[in-house]
Amino acid sequence: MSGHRDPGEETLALLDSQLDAADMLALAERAATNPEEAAAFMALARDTAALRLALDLPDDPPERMTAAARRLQGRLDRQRLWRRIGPIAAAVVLFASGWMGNALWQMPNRQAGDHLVEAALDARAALELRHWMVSQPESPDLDPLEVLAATGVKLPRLPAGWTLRDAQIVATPDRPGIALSLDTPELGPILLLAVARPEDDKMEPPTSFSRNGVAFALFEDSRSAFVLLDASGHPEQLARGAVELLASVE
Amino acid sequence: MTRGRPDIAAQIATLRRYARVLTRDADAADDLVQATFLRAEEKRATFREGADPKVWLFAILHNLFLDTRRSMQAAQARDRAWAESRAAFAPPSGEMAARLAQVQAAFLALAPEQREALHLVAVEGLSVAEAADILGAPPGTVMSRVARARAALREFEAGKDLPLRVVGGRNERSS
Repeated sequence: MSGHRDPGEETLALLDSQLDAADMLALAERAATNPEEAAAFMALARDTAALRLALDLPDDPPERMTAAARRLQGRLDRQRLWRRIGPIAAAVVLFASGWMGNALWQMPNRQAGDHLVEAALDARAALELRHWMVSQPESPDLDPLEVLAATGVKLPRLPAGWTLRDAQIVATPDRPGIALSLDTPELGPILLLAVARPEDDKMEPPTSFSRNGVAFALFEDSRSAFVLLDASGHPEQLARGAVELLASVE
Repeated sequence: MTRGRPDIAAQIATLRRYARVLTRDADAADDLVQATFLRAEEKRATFREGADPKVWLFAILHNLFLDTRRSMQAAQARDRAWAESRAAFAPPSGEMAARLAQVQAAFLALAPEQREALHLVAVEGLSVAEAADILGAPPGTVMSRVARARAALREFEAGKDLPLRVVGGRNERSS
C-alpha cells in the first residue's frame, strides 16, 4: 500500500467491503470509542452514498459500445491465452522444426548449458548411489512450496503417469537446484534437474541432443532452467517429455 | 492482487459515469467511452496480466479526454450549455431527490481536478495510488484535491452557496 492514503480511504474501503478483518476491527474500534470519529465516519458514508446515488446513469449503453467492449474482451482473452501458451507453442515449434533429434549442440549459451549438463550428470550419479545404499533411503516426498522457497524453482506438475522415485537437493555451479528421479510410462526412468535462473536473463531456446549415448533436453521458463536426462533414450522422445513438462509449468 | 480474466463488460457503466463526470455531456461522454474501447484495443499489449481492468481503462479514457478535448472555446460553450443538454445523470427520485439533485449540481460544479479526484476515490472506490496513476498526478496532489473537494461539498452541506466555478478562470483546467 502506498504511503499516501486519503483520510477517507479506509472508511470507503470498509463501505466497499475491501477492508480485511484486522483493519476493519481497528476502524470499528476507533469509531466505537470516539464519538467524533464515529460522526466523521457516518458523515463520510452519507456523503459517499449520496454522491453515488446522485451520479446514477439515466440510460443504457448504446449497442455499438457493448459491441466494442465485447471485441476488446475477445482480444484480451486471446492475448491472455497466447501469453500463457506462447512459450509452450514456441517450444513445440522449435523442437518439432528440426531441433528434435539433432545431435548437434545448439544451445547459444553453450557454457551455461554445459554447466547444467555436467550438473545433471553429477546429480544422476548421486541419486543412483542413493538408489542402492540401504542407509540412504530414497525420498519420494516433495513439497513444491518448500522447494520454491528454498531454491527459487517452481516445479512443473508431473504429466499423468509420471511418478517421483526420489528427490534430492543438489549442488550446481551457480546455486543449489533440485534433482528428481522419475519413472515415466513412455521414457522409462529419467532425471529432471531444475535450477533457478534470474528472471531478467534472456531465455534460451529449448534444445535436445545426445552426448556420449545419453539424451538431454534443456529448456527454460521465466524462473527456472531444466535439464531432462535419459541414459538410454533418444533426444526426440525426451523432447516430447520436455514439452509435456513445459506445458504444466504455471 | 492477482485477478483472473478481466471483465470488460462490467466496466461499461463505470466508464460512462466517469466520462460524464469529465465531459458533463451525455453524448460527448459516450463518444469518449467508445473511443476508449478502440484505443484500448490498440494498446492491449500494455494490459498486464492480473491488473485491474478498471484502472487500465480509466487511465486510457482520462488521457484520451485530455488529448481530444476540444478547444477552450468549445469547452466553455459546453460549460455554459451543460445544464440544458441531455442530462448526463439521472434526475434523482424518492424522498431524498431534492438533496441528491443539489449534491449532483454541487459535485458537477466543482473544479475539474477536484471533481475527477473525488470521483475516482469516493465514487469508484479506487485507492489514492490508483487515482494518481490514472490522473498522472502525484498521490499527495490527489489527496489534497480530494480533501478540497470534500470541503467544498461540506460547505455546500452547511448551507453555503454552490462552489463557484469561474469558466476560464482560476478554477478552470489550465492546460
